[in-house]
Amino acid sequence: MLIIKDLEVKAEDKVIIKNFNLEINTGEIHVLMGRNGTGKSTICKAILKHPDYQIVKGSISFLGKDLKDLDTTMISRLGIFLLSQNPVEVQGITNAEVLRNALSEKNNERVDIFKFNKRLNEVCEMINLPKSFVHRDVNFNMSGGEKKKNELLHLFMLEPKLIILDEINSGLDVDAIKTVGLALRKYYEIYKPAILIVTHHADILEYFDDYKVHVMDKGEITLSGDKSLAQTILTTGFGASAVAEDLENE
Amino acid sequence: MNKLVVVEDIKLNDDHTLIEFKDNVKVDIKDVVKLIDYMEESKDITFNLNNDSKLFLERLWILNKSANLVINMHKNSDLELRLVVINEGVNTINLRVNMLEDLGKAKIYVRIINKNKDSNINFICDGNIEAKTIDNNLLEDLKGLILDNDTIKISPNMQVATNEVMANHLVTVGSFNLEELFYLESKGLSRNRAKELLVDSFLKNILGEHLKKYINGGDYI
Repeated sequence: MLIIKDLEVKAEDKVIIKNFNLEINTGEIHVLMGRNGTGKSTICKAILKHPDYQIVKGSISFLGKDLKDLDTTMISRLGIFLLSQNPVEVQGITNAEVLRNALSEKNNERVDIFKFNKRLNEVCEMINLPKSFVHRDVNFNMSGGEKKKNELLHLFMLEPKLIILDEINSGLDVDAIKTVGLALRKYYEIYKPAILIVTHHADILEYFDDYKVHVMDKGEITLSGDKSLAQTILTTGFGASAVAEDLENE
Repeated sequence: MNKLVVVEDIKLNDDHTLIEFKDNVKVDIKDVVKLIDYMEESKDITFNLNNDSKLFLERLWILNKSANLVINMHKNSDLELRLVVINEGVNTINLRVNMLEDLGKAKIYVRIINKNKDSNINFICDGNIEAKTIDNNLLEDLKGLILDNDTIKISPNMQVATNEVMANHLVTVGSFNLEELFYLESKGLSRNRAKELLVDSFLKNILGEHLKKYINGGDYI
């Protein structure tokens, strides 16, 4: 589904990502781990062509389409969804306005308001989000947990095929992590998307049965393994991954 | 006594439900007046706020030549000015608020865009607080959004001749917030539609429901 080959990404003339290769198939969950500053968030944003980053080498394809000449809008409409660590606040524009416009433009037709509102209500109930959020300004005056739940509203309404979660558990309390984790698992069970999770913590991973783990260092993946690698790292730190890499190479 | 005055065609009636603004007119405000108007002309207007009066002025101003707006405030008067300016051509607005006596409160919120890329607006906001006055409170919150290489200049001036005052100003002039644009595009909105929504929210943010209906961000992108 997503194939990244030999990717190099720069920000302000500095190489952040290099020799990055990753393949995620439908229904697979991949976890990116690594110390701060290794480029994990950069890769999340670069996939969606964030203006701060330039892809200078390599390729990204999604569902067989080369993303090289596509802009953020087109990539999103193909079915890639980014849930950022700190979702942007957009004062003066409500969730309903964003979603209605997004769906209308994507499908090139006016949204049936009745069906749209019905679906919004269903999603709110499913993810335990107060219905008042629908008409609130996007992420404005919301706590960290509320912002993440707000983004889940967008996720369920837009129904993407690949979800990129950039430190989704950052700033969340135990209850909020549970709510978010359960909602993501529900989405996964219904839609079987591909998921790329960037995380430092195990808590969100508990909601998924199986996943592959990749460790990033200095802009590239240096080690990959199954879920046990995540447990090793979370127990003993990233130094352990260097040990594991050495063991693998022996 | 509160008066809600909603002005569309700017006509004066005996019961003061609508007001006509002639050029260079002086308007006397007594009691509490709420004035909501949509103005498509550039006229010079002076408001005199008498002692203990209150003026809430909300205006959507389609500007086609330079204009002056002066507000003189007397003792214990209250001003809340919410002004959205959509400018066409090369123009200057001089907004002057004179706090002439004690205990005045003035909050000035302004949002400015140009109608097209050849337009250029110079918005000068002069807040003047007289000497030997006490306990006046002045806020200037002035913002311009550049749409397409047009020019917006905002000068938030304050001449304060006394120490017993609270005066704040906030000015931003800039183009679209790239993070906001990226966010909206990452949801699948086209760049144009994202900009339309952002212009809409920028202008409507300080207005009530009466005037919001006149604003359509799509007209300016």
